[in-house]
Amino acid sequence: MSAAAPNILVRAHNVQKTYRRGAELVHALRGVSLEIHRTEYVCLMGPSGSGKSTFFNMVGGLDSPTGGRVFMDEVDMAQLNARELAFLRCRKIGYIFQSYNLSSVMTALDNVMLPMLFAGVHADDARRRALALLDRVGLDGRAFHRPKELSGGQQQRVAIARALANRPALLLCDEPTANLDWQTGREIHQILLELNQRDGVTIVCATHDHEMLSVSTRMVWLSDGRIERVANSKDVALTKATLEVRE
Amino acid sequence: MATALAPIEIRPQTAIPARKALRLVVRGLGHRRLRAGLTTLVVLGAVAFFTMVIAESLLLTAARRGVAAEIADHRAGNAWLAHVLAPGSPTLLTARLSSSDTAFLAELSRVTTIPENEIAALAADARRERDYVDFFARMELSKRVVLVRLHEGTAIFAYLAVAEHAERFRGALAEMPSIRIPGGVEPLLVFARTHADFLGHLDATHRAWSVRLATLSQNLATLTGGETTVAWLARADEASAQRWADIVRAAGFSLSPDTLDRARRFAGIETDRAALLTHLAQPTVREAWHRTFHNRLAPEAMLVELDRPDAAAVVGSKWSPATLAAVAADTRYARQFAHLEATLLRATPPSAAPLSGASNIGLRPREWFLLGISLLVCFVGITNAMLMAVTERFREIATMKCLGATDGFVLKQFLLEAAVHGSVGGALGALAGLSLGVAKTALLHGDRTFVYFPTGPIALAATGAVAIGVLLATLASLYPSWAAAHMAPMEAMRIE
Repeated sequence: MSAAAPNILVRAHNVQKTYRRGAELVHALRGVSLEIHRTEYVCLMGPSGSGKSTFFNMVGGLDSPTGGRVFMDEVDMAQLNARELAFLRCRKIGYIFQSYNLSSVMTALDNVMLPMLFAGVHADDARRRALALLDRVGLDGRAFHRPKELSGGQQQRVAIARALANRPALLLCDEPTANLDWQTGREIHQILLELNQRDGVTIVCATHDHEMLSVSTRMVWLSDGRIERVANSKDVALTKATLEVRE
Repeated sequence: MATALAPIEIRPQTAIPARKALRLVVRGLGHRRLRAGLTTLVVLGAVAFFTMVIAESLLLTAARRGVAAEIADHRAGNAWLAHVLAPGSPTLLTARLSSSDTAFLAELSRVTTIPENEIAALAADARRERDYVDFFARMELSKRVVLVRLHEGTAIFAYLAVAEHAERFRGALAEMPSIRIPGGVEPLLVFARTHADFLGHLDATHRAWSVRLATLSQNLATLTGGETTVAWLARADEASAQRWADIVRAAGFSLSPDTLDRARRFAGIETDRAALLTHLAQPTVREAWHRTFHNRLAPEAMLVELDRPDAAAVVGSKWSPATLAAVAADTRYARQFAHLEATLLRATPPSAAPLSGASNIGLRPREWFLLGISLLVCFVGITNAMLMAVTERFREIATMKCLGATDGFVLKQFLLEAAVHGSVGGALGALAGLSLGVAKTALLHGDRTFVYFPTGPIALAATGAVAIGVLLATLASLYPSWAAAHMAPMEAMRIE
């Protein structure tokens, strides 16, 4: 590997994933290479079965490739042991899920404090930061509510605050607005966009939501385990109509 | 918000202190009360059953031991008098010889003037005879018939003494490897051949014992003037009683001052009781009794009522109120003991010997089997419940791992959860089982349960039951916890 540009956060090199389903071999990824720069906002697109989720999990350190390499800030993730991976997930990556995945037994505040508990942050500091983050996503005054007392949009805001708890370098969003109505989805986009533009958080987002495309800096289409197309958002904005037809 | 542009440095994830992990577990359980309650109930049931069976057995054992001692103490005077006054039978002598009562062996040697080593050899043979007879009595009938035909008890030795039968016995035994003769086959056959000699010695010893008893009763008769010993002893003053005791001691019997007192007290009450029974059976006395108490009891039943205030007036001035009260109390004890013998002491499991040996819990094999089954069912129940909990919480577990939880932390969470189930279920179960065991025993055997309450062993059993609950729950959760710890974090992305 040549000396990489310092602003490359994630570098996927010829990533392949093959697994066995019953007797047949499934080629989920057939060699994907992609570089994600710091402060970039990348959207991963593709129909189900395109390998989008598999690639997404590789970038997040949740799955390991059967071929090729994934580097996080020039660290080969395959070289990390279980505890180092846990460290990476805890402090360097924030995850946002389609179904929020908040712990139903904890208040919003406790949910946001949980990653800081794993990171060993002192409880008082964690509490102060969690309250600030909830304030940041517009949930001040809801800190002591449990998830079932919150709307979907509010729950996703708690999840965003939780993902930001340990100041991650990378925010991974898996269909963050799929369970939300259009208006609420827009608000979530707005928060993510602000995080990206104002705070410089790198975001990788798997989505079907075209509203999201317009805020991203780059779009990557996957199909049958390969990158089909990479485009800048400006180009897509022009061809949005065609895009909708294609999908 | 800080801009994350610093290069990434990766270290192994730090562990979470147990105190914080436990707080998370307890908070989780507080919000999953139904599932937590059900799992705890499984532990509670098993521990309650376990504690109940053990507690019941401990209580019964303690009560039996206590009551047996109480009865023996109450009858000590009577038993001692019977020992000195009646020669008994050779069979009875064998039973006493085999009981390992060294004081009796020494006394037997003194009274019969047979050397102590000969008595000791006789006692050893008596013990072996008893052990062999017990061994064959416990054997399944079909097996015994194959080995010794239809012979039973000591007749087995006469049968085996014949060389031809012994040969047949050896042959049959070779075909049944599961049967092990205690001490081996050859010693048994040797014992069978010499059994006739043992019976001869026993008979001679018993004859010598009887002769000495006859001599003693002749010597005593000169003192009592032909009156029965009990009646004479009942009214003998201190000096006469001492003279009587001296004659008994001179014959080689051991008689402590305490035993003499008990014998005299027994003789006194027994004489009064006999006289009262005759007196109460008279028509005039029965009429007077009816007028006063408006009931017609049998004379034996009237004895128990003799300590009522008006009874003295009915019976007459021949007996003092103190005597009447003593007879009433003694008769009441005798009845109570007869009842306890029939219920509490009869309930002794045949294979165990709870009247001796403090460490014996006194459980029958069937009860051990039931306990084992209940613990197994509990084990499977907890494993099942915990597996379901893991399956239900797959998203939560995977999300925790995405947020930085290590495998060890997840494992710790589930094991701690199991330990909480185990300790709560164990403590409540031990309490419930103990209450049930005590209630059942008290209901069946009355206040004697509490008189001889074995506090130490019961506390030990309850503590042990809680420990078993914790251990069982934790062990049963090992696999489910392992499964949770090894769940892939990407499960968090799964959409149902």
